Amino acid sequence: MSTMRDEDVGPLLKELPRHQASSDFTERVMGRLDHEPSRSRPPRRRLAWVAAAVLVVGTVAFTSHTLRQREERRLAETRLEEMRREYRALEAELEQLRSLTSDVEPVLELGGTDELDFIFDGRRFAERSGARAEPVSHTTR
Amino acid sequence: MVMVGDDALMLRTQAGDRDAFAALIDRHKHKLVNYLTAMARDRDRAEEIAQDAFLKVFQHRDVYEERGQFAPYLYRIATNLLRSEDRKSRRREVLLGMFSARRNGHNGVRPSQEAQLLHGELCGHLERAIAALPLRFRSPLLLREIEGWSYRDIASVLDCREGTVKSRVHRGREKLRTLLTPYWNGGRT
Repeated sequence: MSTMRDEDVGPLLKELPRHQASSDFTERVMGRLDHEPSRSRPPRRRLAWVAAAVLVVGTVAFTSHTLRQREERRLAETRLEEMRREYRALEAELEQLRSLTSDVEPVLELGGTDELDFIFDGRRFAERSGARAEPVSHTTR
Repeated sequence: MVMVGDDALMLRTQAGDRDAFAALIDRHKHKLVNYLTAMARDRDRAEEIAQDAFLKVFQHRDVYEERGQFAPYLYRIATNLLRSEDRKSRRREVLLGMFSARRNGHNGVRPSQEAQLLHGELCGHLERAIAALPLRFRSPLLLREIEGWSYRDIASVLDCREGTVKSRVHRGREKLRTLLTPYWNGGRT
């Protein structure tokens, strides 16, 4: 048995039986042309379709984005207004508390006996210039 | 008789002349069916794909550009159709194989194939060997050796460089030789 070479492949392939299309091949293709609508459109027309589609998608995306932004802004403004209202309410409450405590004298009862009361009067203490509280013990560095 | 070129017939087809398209079909059908039969190893399937390819050419007739490359254009469409069908059927085979592997006891060789092997017909071996070649080698080898196409035209069909085509034809030949060597009797058929 001789060794097969690469050059032997070509002639061998050419010896393969040749197949022909069936006799009604052309008629069948032409018949299918009538039944299957053309999917091809002139390039300009197709381009116009693509442009219109891009325009529609762009408009929808822009509108949606604008609406979303508007909604977010409306929510932020509502929240801000709520915060302002809350601030005003707190301020009023604080003012009320201040007015309640303004009449109270800063006097502390420190204790005492039946004959003697030890009282700390904050107003007098504040009137003395240079007066400052000293702790009982402290370390100076 | 004056021979009208493929491009002229396509121009007439674009203008709505259906007879011109029929003439194009008549001109290329036998060679295309022969090429596809060698590729697919199934004449009926080859004829179906050839019809689909012509249909596609007709449907996209408006985008065809006149460059004297009608045949490569047609064969490119046909090869791509075959390739996409092959992919689909391979996926189907994998899925079917998963379900039928246990029930099917044989080794994948059908009785008719076994009989052919026993007969030792070189032609049968050759057809099987061609079918066993990957598509990237099969297509350029058949176009070159059977249809006698130039490397340039094959490159246009396969959308690759001429050098790639030459390399694939060479490697396809090598692979076929390896597959056929056990049955080689010195070229006497």
